[in-house]
Amino acid sequence: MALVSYGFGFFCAVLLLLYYIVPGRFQWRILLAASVLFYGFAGPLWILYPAASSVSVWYLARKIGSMTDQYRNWVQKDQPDRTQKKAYNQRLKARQKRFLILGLLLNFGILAVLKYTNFLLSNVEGILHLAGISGEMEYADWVLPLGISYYTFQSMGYLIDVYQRKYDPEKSLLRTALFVFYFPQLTVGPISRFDRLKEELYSPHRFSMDRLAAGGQRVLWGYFKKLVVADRIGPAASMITGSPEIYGGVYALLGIAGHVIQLYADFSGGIDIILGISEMFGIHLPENFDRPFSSRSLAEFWRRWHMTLMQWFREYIFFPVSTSQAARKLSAAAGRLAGKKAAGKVPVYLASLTVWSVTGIWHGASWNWVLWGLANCVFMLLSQELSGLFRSLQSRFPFTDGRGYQCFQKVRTFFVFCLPWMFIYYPAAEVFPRLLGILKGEGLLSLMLGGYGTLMDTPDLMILGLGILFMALAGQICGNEGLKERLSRLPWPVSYGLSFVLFLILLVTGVYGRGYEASQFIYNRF
Amino acid sequence: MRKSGKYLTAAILAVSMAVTPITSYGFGWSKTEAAGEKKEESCAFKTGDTVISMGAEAAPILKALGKAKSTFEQDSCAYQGKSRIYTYENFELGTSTASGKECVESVYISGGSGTAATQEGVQTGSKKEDVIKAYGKDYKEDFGTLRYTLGNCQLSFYMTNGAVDAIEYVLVPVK
Amino acid sequence: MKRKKINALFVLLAAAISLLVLWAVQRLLVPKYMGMVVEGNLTGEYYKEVPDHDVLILGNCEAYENISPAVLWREFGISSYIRGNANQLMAQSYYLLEDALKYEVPGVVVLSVSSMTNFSQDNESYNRMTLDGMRWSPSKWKAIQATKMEDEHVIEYIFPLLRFHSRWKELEKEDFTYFWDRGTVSHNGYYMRADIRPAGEFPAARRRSDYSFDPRCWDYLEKIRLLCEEKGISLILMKAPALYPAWYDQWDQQIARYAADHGLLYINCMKEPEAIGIDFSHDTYDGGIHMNVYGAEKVARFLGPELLKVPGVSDRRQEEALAVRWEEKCRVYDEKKAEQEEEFSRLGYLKQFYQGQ
Repeated sequence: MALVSYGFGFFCAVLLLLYYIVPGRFQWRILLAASVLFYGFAGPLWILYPAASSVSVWYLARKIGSMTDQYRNWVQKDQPDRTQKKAYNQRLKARQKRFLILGLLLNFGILAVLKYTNFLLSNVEGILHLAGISGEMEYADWVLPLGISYYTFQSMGYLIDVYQRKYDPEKSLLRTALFVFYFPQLTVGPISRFDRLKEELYSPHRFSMDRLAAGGQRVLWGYFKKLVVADRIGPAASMITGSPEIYGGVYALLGIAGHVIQLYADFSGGIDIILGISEMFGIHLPENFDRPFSSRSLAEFWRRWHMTLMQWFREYIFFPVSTSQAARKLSAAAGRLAGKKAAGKVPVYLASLTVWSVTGIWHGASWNWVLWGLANCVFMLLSQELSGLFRSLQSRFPFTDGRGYQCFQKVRTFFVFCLPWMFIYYPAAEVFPRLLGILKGEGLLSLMLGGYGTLMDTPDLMILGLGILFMALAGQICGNEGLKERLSRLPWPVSYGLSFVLFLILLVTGVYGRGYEASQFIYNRF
Repeated sequence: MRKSGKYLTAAILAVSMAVTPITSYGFGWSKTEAAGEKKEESCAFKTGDTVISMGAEAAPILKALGKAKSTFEQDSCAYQGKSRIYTYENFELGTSTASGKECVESVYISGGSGTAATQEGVQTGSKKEDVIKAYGKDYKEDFGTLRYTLGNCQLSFYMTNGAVDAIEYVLVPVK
Repeated sequence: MKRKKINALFVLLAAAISLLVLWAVQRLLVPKYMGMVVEGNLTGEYYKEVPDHDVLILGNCEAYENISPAVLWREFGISSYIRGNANQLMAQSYYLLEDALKYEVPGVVVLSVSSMTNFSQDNESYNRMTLDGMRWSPSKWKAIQATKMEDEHVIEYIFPLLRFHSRWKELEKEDFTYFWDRGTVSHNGYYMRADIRPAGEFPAARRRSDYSFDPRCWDYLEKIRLLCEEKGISLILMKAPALYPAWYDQWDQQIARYAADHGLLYINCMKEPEAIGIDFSHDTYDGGIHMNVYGAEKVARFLGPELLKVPGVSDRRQEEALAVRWEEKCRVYDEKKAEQEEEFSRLGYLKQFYQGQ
């Protein structure tokens, strides 16, 4: 069931009604039933995938947890000394690790097979062709279960946390299942932490008009971003990148920038819808965006964009890799060869390259995505290496403290973020020639003389411009406070009036219905 | 990790990897059938170097075909579109226009033997056996007409006295 | 307490203003059908009528373009209305009849059978034109359910703003001019064209692989027959005069057999060219596909005597109230006809329907 569909609106309306009618202790069960139903809309057998994930995670987490309980009981009962405790713990950790690895292999295995089989086959085919063996592979045409990337990462994060004894495992299978595939999160995330979500997920909630209104406003804002901005700019950007022979030079940059704006409006809009719906149930999911386009560096950008995924990678890949034995060995070797500074950088470089390769491959099963990830990584590492130089330059030139320079940094960051996307929308071999074309300014005159008219008619262009401006202003006005808090400070007639106007704009200018193709959320495909 | 543990882990990994594609067959997903793809291609009419597929945009096809012997045009009810029939030497090309785009809707071949033929070599005058040999047995027969549905195209062979006397390609909605 | 009351009042006010604004925006954005395409108004115009008709004519463009109710009244005293629309499907004709029977029970229903040739709609616009004008009722709900296309949603019929919102880019002067009232575009459901385009050549009729009608079309034909039978209405099946598309003999035979089996009168106007007096070089506005006003009047003159033979249908020109209403209708009809004739003779085409070709 698509988030942008009348059916979904009806589903949520009925669910809300039911949720607040039933006694509080049944509310989480209603959400679980709704999640099963939501998932089952695509076909009842699909539910087996998240069900398998839930059962395996629940069982393995409980197994690991029970071993930890045994350890605690033994410590309390026998009062062992430190050496005895250390030895027991080491043996225990080794046993627990087996269950952890089993869980990781099973769940990531399913994800890997479904998502990356064709990638593997294409590489094998490529190697065989290089070796002079002709022939074509038969590729699988499997469809990915809805949200598999999100719920797999979320449940594996839970399993790892239990292994690391951050919290105790959930005893109930049904509650675990709700955490794994709570329906608002299935489409585009965010990826939540169990300990931060469980209180609100399982506790009863009383009806609150304020909460309903706040959630509703957020949902409205999300649909505005998706239907007025993202789905309006998307076809135009696709026209540019889909016809490179017609749209070259600066058009390529326009196309990529258009895709990035589409991506942000689409993804953050989807997140707003999900967070808003969840808020109406009294459940606060973690934020996934924090005004990324106000970032002044790429590293800051990635701390504000898709925050929950980046946090997951940081916690479960970056830190483990950077503190691993392999990293320590490499660091020692680098230290011997190139000194202490190099030794300090090696774990960071290794972990960064790993994280960004995985980030790339998570987004898409192709080498282009890996290149995209590595390009981001290289830009950030380069920026880090040159940070000393930048600081000394900034200290010499006072204007770098001013708002003008900050503005320049934000615009620069936007374009630096855009550049790696060229690997996604153009063949890798064409990226550098296209960059050259952009730098030479090819096609600029044509664009300025109305070339954009072939991409979008004037009324749509105006609405798009106003929509982007509106988004930028909203971000500026709300600042760190957030939309909900900012609106809650306004008198309710004003808040309602603004919401109604937004609703009207969405209703009239939204890209939905006849003549528009129902556009799936981009991050749904991951 | 002990060796036995490693073997056990590897076995479980292998099983879990294997289980996934099997479940996909259980759910009725299957690999694309190459034969099906071949059938889709054969439902386009080819004249000279020009391939005419059902539902394709008409403009480039009309340009390639050159001037028609005659053109018939009809407005749909309440001006919601236009239908046109272009008559060429050996066949008729039918199009319809909706939302400003003219698309191919049908091709009709009639006339004496030795005129236009399908890509599989069936033409007016061919026998029923020739049709079945070229297109297989998956057809419906009504009123002496053999009808094949191939993707978005319905291919009909009108028979009189056991021989094809007209061939028609028609665009059908794909469900 | 006072504060709560004030709050409640504000809430009600906000709700009322919101609904009013939404209603106004919807009214502005829905198409007015007052330009080249007027068919969208045909269904709704029925409700402006005093429901006192002896004959109801149902069907697609072969119904609403080919019979003149003004001639039926003037020369035979028969009060009639055409509930027809562009590409109106059999199912839609059935539900429009069911709807009309809530207001009146005519003596005769004349059903154009050309819509037996397809059950499914091929263009969503036709559904909107036919169904949007219907008053909300179980008949409308069933008509929508029976004929909506795969990508149509019932909620878009309940709130047409959801369907027509994209017209914000296409708003024209007529959207504002006709915001409150659209006037009347038809003459008792008849779509008048006084321009002339003689019939030309048509492509030869193609053979069909299957001459059977969709079983669902048969179902609705049977439903119409049974409904008429239940209400004591005589049903006449009619095929209007049209040179294209072809009305195959095989189709004609099926309808004739059905009519014979159920004791219904079936009139195929294509078999009565001399009796009707159709001149395809003069009586058509689109080259022989539909009649213009001259042809429609001839068809009406041909049908009139047949209709008067039906029990319950009589010459009502002596009924004063009815005569007064029809006098006004005929005056408007004659005025419009004269206006179109003058324009056609001056320009060679009618501006309202000119596509610039």
